[in-house]
Amino acid sequence: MLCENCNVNEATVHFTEIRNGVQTEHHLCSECAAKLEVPGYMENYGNEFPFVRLLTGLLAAGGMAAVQRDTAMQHICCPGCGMSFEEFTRIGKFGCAECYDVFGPLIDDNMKCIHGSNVHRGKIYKEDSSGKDSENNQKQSESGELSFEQQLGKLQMNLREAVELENFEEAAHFRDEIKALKEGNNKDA
Amino acid sequence: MLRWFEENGKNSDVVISGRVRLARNINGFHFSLKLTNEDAEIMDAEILTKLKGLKAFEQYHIFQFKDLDDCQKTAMKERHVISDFLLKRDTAAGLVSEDENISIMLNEEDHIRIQAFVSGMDIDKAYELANDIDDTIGGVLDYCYDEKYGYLTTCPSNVGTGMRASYMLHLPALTGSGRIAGLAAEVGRFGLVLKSLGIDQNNYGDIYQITNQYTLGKSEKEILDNLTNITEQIVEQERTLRKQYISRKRLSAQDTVYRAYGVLRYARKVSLGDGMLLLSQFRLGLSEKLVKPSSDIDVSIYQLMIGIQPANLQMMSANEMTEEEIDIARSQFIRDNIPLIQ
Ligand SMILES: [Zn+2]
Ligand SMILES: [Zn+2]
Repeated sequence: MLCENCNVNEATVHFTEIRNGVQTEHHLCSECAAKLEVPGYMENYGNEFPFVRLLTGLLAAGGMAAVQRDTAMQHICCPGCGMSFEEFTRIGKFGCAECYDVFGPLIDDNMKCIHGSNVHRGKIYKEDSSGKDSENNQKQSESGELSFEQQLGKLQMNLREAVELENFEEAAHFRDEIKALKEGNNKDA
Repeated sequence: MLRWFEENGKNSDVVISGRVRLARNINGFHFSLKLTNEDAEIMDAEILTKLKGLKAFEQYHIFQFKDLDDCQKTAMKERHVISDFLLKRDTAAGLVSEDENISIMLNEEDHIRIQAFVSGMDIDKAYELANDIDDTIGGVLDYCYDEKYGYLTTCPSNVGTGMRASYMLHLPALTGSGRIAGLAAEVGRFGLVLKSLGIDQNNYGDIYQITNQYTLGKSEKEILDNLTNITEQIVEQERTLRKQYISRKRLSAQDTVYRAYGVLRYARKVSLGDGMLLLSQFRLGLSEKLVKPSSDIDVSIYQLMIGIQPANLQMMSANEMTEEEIDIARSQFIRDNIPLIQ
């Protein structure tokens, strides 16, 4: 995908901007991103870009006071590898598998933008065990309980809703639930 | 046993080779961005220990960067055994099949990169080879995999299947008629990327690579079929243009090929740029039967294109060569290997 600003370089910075309630996708090359002072890309980001503030708030929500949120950027990181959100948005790459749990739900729309989809439909790893899973899931569905996929989908939707409404503490709670659900599922498998 | 670049496969007049590359990461280690060199060394050693004993890799060569000099590494890159990315790493290792058609790179942008090459237009075969290796490795190592996002990769642009499938194409007629830019835009609408293999987009013997852009949300088969369908259309376009040009200007076309042959056969110094251009013209001449080879043996010209790369030439010499000495060695290599014509 080419940079929307210069139409020359490959776009490496992908972000969602929410302004006056209108959400738009942006794709820039690193040079233009720096030139246009895209927040999260530059050290001194402005407050007029809610997306970055939302993420900042969400990731800082684990007990941090509201006042600290705006300066919390440097303290936010993936518990697995220490990747900070600032670094993640600047580099646009993941530091470990756990980063996908931390940053993944928040860039779901960007995933759709990059790939035209946000759900894997290819080869399934360790088909034997996941085959057993789907049997279990089916049984659960019949007895009225939600399957793993349904539970996960529901939690991810809740998480994104919470982010949009700036309910950071609630969002952090959903994030932890997603993580616990996934860990539980992996142990079953 | 022939290497992928030593033989001519299906549609070889246009399609040089097909390649499938799978990106995988394993649990227990941070991704490359956050992996220290020390941890990378531990990881490489762990993976090598696990894979070394497997029957599937009995015939594979194991390489470790700490045992290789720069020239050896660069020559491997020129032969496409390792990637540009791996070449720049401080710590890296891997396994290579005897014919070099399959290689497994460790500590690339992802922990494991599996790649398989086939000659000509047979991407399904390349996928089959890569997929078998993937099953073997995935059986003894624990991949990072997520129900929603599939195979987890360092870069979000690789997530899902973790697969890049590509064809290497020889497109002299499309290049000569100035249609590459338009073609690149066209294939972009089908989720494919067409780019020159030359450095900084300089012409590189009219050799191009077409690759899938998306890795998430489509099955491997859909991605491969799409690539092959679009490539078939490019092959047709290239062939039509070649025929048109040759039917209109047969003598000019022939003249170009004979001139190229003359220089390749008799020059005493050949630069890399000239070598690639002349070999491209000669390859076109052979494909379109503008010149007749003396022997029936089907020689892959792309093999010569790899052979004339600087590090591969340097590898054949005992001493470090200057640029001029490399140009001289290049002319010698071409004279020794170019198929004679009648
Ligand atoms: Zn730009
Ligand atoms: Zn991480």
